[in-house]
Amino acid sequence: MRLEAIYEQYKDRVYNLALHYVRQPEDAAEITQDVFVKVHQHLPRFRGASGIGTWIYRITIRQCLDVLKARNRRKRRGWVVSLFQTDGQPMAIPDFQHPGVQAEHREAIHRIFHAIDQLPEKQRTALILSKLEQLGLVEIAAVLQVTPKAAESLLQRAKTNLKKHLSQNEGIG
Amino acid sequence: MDEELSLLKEVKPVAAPPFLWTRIEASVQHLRQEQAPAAVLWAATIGLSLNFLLTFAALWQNQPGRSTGDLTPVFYHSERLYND
Repeated sequence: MRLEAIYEQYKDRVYNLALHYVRQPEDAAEITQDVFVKVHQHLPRFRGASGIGTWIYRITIRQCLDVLKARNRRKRRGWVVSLFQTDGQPMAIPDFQHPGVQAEHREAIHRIFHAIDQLPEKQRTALILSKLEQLGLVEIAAVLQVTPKAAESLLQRAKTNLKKHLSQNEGIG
Repeated sequence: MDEELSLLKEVKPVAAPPFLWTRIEASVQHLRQEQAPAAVLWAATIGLSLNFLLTFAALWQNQPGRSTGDLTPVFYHSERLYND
């Protein structure tokens, strides 16, 4: 299969999944670009053990988590730097800019995403794939390389923890 | 909680930016250009190693006394066999 054909078929799914993770159009575009470059690099070795869509989802998730880790590292470094800065300028932290969210729901959805960010990686992924990508348990299990039962349990734990985080955040707010 | 999660249905899918394919093509092209000199370098290394190996093997085979040393007694014995 040619890269352009794969890109045409999966570009929107990859871009939207990246947006759900990073909520920044520029970062999501960069992730999408990196994902398809990786697909080009690894396509000759892709043996089709899983569907190509599942494989692309996995690459996207890994890429998103890497970007988020780098962002967190930057944030931590920025905090340390700010301790020694005298001008008091706070470090720029990316704002919530999800183009798929309408203005009237922005605040409420931002709050949910903030709580989702506090979940462990696998629970976060299970929740995003289920609630935002509308994938079924079997598909989520395939992406996460676990059994459907394990995926169900992950999703359940994600919901319980999300509830906890939402009530904590409410308490703070 | 379920109400809050159902709010996520309000997150609508959006189209990927149109400029992305051009950027991806450029990156892939760049990768190919980077890989080409590496392939030439590998080919040159393998070629040189093979050349060295063959030359060394030929020199080793033609060492004085190596080939004739084994053959002389055979000639000697056969000469004796027919001349006696």
